[in-house]
Amino acid sequence: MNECVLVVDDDREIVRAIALLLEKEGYQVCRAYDGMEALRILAEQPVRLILMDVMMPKLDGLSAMMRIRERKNLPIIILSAKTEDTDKVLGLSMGADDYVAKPFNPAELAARVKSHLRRYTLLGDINAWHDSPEIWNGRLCYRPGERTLYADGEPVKLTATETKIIDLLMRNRGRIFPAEEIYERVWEEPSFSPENTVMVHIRHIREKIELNPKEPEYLKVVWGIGYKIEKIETHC
Amino acid sequence: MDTKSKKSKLIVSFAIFFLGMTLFIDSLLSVAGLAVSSKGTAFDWHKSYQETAAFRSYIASYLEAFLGVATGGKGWRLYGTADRYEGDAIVQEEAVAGTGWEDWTGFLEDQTWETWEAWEAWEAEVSGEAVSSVPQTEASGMDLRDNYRDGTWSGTSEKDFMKDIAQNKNLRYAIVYQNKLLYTNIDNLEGQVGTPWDNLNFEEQLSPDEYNFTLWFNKDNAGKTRIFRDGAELEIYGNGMYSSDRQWFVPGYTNFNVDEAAGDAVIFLAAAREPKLYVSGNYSEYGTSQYGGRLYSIHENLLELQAQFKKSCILLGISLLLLALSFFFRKERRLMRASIGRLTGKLWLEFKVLLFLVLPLLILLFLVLPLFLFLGNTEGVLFFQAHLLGIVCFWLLYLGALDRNANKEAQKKPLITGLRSRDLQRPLQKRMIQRYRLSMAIWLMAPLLFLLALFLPMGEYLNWMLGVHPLPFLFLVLAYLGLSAASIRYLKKNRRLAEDLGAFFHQVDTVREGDLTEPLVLPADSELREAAERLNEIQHGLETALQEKLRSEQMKVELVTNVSHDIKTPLTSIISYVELLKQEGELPDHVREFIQILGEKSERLKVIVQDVFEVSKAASGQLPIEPETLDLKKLLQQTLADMDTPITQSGLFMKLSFPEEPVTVFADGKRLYRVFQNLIQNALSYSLEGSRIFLTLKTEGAVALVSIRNTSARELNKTTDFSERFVRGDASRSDGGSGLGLSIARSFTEACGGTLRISIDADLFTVTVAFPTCQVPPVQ
Repeated sequence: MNECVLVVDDDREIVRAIALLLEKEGYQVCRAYDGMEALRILAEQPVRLILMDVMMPKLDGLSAMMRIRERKNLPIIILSAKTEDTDKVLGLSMGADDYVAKPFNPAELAARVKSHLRRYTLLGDINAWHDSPEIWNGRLCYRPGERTLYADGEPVKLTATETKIIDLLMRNRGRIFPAEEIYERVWEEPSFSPENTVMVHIRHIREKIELNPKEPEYLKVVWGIGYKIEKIETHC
Repeated sequence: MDTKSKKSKLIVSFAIFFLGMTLFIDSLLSVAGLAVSSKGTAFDWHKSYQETAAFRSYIASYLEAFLGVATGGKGWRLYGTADRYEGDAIVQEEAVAGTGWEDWTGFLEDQTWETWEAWEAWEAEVSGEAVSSVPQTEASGMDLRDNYRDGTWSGTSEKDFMKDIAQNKNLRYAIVYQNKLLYTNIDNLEGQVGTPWDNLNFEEQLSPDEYNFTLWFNKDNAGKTRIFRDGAELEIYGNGMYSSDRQWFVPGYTNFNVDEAAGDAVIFLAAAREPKLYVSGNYSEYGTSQYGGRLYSIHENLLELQAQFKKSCILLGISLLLLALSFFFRKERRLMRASIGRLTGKLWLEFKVLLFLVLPLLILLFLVLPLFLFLGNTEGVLFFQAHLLGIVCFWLLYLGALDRNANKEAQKKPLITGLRSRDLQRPLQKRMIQRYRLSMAIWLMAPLLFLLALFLPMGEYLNWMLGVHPLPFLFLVLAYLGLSAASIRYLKKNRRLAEDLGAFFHQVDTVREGDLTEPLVLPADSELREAAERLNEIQHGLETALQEKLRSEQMKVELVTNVSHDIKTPLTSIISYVELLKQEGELPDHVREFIQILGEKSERLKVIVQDVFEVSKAASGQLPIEPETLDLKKLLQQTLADMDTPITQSGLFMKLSFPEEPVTVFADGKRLYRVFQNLIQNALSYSLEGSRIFLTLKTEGAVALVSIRNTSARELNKTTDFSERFVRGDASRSDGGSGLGLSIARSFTEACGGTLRISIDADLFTVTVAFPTCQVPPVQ
């Protein structure tokens, strides 16, 4: 397929490393070292996804992204060493689809690129799925009729118990469930010290659906209260 | 409805207690007063009036009077019209005007008890034996003698006196002198007056039922007195010597002789068992007269006293019953006491103290002191008046004790501090100005008052001075006016100073509240100018220091942010290329191993950079915190579940101890997770192999305590502060941690409002995290 990915960073070594990583995954990589260059390449090449640093000379990442968003709807992943929540919120609210903190895990970055490209190219616009009985949440999609969970459009293999948990949480996205309630509703028997049991299943599900199970985006622990699936609005 | 009935039950139970207690004190004091004042006679229900001291003195007086009559002496005059009372008091008043006589008669005869004197007289009658030995002669008889000597004696003749006496049928008598019956009022013998007396037995003429008391003087020419009651002779003389404690003041003691003339006299006296009042109407002369009132009153008073005593005893019994009843309502009374305590707690302390001091004082002044001042023998009255004092004192003490118990902490609510604090709330300058004004007014008023005090009593002197020496006086007035003017000037100056001081203190307040921009500008001639300028300098210095501190704090955070950013960028490259290297095939094994090490170390560097960043943010107070109510127990269980794999792999045992119920705290769950993750990680990293880690959660009062105890693998240095940044148990720093775990735990705990404490006991390493609990249940 050889989709074209644009990598923008003023650190040439990083650009090269990412390029090497992605080329191994079978992507065609274009390189740019500042915002202006990125805009120029974007005009010339059929770019499908952009990986972009924030702090760059000439034109910084956020400004460049705003200009791109004026015309293009392609996925943009921000790469930044600024790891504070405020930075992430700023980046996402200005039109980024994802925010990856430096130093990143190369495998995770590759997985994210793949996930975004799949959604962009194969699954298309969210609106096309609008009327269907499916529950969409970010890159996850749950079909209650089939009792199947799709991540980036591909079905996730879940055990019966895991499916029950996903069923409960996906139907109530954003709601926090205490471990007792999850246990009672999934196992359908009174709970006794359910924290460990539930956590084990949660961890297994995470490994199947999260890009980085150590820093989950979807299946989250609300410390001291319970568990939930984050309700994620899709940025387009 | 239920509470209403409960409330009324409270009130009723307390009312019973109140009534019982009041009655108890009253009746106890009554009984005690009666018992003491009657020297115990009140206890004898059946005692006859003839056993009272008043009766004895009465009889002794008449014996003395009759001996006087018999021998032609004048002693009888002392007793005058003792037992007659004129129906119309005016007659007597006219007769003896200005002598105080009417007081005395009234004293004796007026039994209507309408006056204070009558009260006291009654008391005197029932009072003790000591008085009896020196009977009327001592108390009131002396007055009579004085009257007699003064020549104010209104002068009835012996015959008139005896005629009066005869009317008194309560006392029957016969006077025999030199074997001749001189006087008698025994009905059957009245015709034989003047006839020789030949051993006529007077007793036989009287019914022993009616007259059960008889006295013979010199019956058998022995000069002795013999007294019979109910046919039995009384022992009079004892050892034969008269002394002041003898009951009977009658002749016949070896040291109480009669003169020769009296040796020829024989006196018979008989007293009625139940004295009556005899009234005779002599309208042609002076209206009605009462006779025999004295004995009658003695008798009646005794009956009255006994009745009173009985009544008091019954009341005492009733009060004891009530108290016993209230004993069953102890619980209600305790509640009532508490609510009364709450009520009294609202009273000002001064009011309470005033009540405590003034009320008993008032009673002392208006009830007790008069008794001492105006009356001599009043112990009985004192007892009766003491009732009110006793009752009031008891309840005051009761309330006082109750108030003390109920309001131990809030005992003091003094009015004066309220007033003082209200005064303090006003600005300083106003207070000072008011004081200046007051002192000014005093300064102006004082000399005027002094002059007034000086000249008012000597108006003439003033006139003289004005007339003779006008100049010095004028000088004085002028000097006074001049001084006043000067003091007004000073007042104005002080007032200005006060205003400046007020502004100065206001400025101090402003600075304290953090406004460092506005300087205080006082006029150049102000006395506080210099001080104000210094204050401005301090303010300026403070402002500069604060700005500098803010700037340096800002710089520190910026520095850390920049440094961590600058480290992360090359680190990204390192990690990426290590990854690329890993994917490289056909490498020798030792190169693969090197790459593996590079990968691990770069990952650790990543962790350290992140930790440094967070800990420095937390230290400068810039860590964002999103607190919510959460269950600490659940959080610990989740953390443990999350760390299940490393715990299992460590080969250590977790010993958990959690309470049954949730432990709710208000904190940032993510940060707390980091705290406990770090603490558990720390314990896992440094514990002795195969040992146990104890994790306990408990609540002590309003504090939730989490403690993690583990046995250290290495020996711990007690002086090391393990929560300092980059401090580690081993000096070589060769283990895997960043050295920031405990530091982060402490920073995050403190940022969430808790405290973290580390204690070391030999190899036992304990970390205790304390959080204030909150009452709201966690949101579901």
